[in-house]
Amino acid sequence: MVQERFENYKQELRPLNTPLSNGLIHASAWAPWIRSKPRVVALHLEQDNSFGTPKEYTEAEALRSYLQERSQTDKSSRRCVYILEGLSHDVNEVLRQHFRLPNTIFSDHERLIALAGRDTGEGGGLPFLPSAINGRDYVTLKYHEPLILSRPPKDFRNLCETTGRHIAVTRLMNEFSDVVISRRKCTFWSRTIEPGSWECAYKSR
Amino acid sequence: MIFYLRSHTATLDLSNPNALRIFMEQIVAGNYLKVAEFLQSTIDVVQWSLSRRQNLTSFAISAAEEQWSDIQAWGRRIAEYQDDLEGIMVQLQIQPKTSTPSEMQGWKDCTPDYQFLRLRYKEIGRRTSVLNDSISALAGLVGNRQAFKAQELSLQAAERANREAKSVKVLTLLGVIFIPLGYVASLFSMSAPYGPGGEKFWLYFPISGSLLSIIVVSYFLLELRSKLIGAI
Repeated sequence: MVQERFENYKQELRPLNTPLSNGLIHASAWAPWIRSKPRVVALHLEQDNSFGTPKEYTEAEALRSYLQERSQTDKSSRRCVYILEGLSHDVNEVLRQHFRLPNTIFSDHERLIALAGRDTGEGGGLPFLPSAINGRDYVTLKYHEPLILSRPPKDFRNLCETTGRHIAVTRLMNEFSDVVISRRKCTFWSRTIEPGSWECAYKSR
Repeated sequence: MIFYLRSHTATLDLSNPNALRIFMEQIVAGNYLKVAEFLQSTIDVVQWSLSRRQNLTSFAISAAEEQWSDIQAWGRRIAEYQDDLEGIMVQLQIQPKTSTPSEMQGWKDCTPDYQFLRLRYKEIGRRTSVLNDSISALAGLVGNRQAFKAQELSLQAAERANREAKSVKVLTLLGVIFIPLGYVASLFSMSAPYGPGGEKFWLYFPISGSLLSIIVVSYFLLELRSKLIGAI
């Protein structure tokens, strides 16, 4: 069932992502979040410029209800931050419809490689021109997080089982180092509703 | 992220939502710095292992080749990190130059951080390239040492063969002297009437001639057979 939903998800992204359309994308460079649980944390900035208690949502319907309820509030006082992690297709759809997000924000966030068909199956490359991204209301930053494993890896090719993140392994003096480097991405999106009223979202992969 | 938002937003301009992007930028820059430190320490370990040595006998050629291959992977990853940094700087509209102290605006401005990181990774890439050249030279030195050892072994084998040849020469010389003496002794030790001066001494010549002919013909036939087999 999860695989079927994943295939449908890829089908919807295909018009925006040529590597997926060609079916050439290497499995190790693009792994679905089949085991990660979606989580959306909402933080609201109060009048005294302090953030209130975070509210967490893991189900798409609960999130939809919450967002609809928020949209009824006075727009002049709305300052909200949403932190998104391990998103599923349903949650993505709720967010896309409510915030009117472009589809590219999801494809850019998930795509780790610029060109398909690489034998390495690993990331890199600059998939955009400066003029093409000028004026975008979001930025997607790809970075690399060093991690220490409890025991050294046994092979060069590793993926995180939960998040699908590629794990880069370093061999040093004939031994695999227990320090590995995980490929990660984070996206920041924002929009101003009215002067002094805005919404923004952090998304991590 | 929740911690930073709840603890460190007091000094930010909260009328603009993009001000909150600073936390993400700082986290990303911090991770790039940690990766840079890891890469530098890795390069240091390899360079340390190559230094302060009187000879390179502890390096096997397979180890040198493996290190060379690993350094190709490091170069590839460093190029990827540089690409990703440039992609970040393009999106954040950061100029690829070094900020002067007067241009820095405190912790809320990540521009100098990414400019510094870009130069740092450029330097790490240069050090990796130098290390690659060193390992290539090491592989050459180790290969030359192995070839020298093989030549030494060949020289020793040739010297041994030379000594054996000298021993054989001595034995041959002894044979040249003592074989005719032995022949004459056995000839004169034949009993009558077959010995020299006996009535039937004349039988010695046809018998020995026949035997000698059979041996010579057999030798040449075997030689011919060997040559024919070799030609095929």
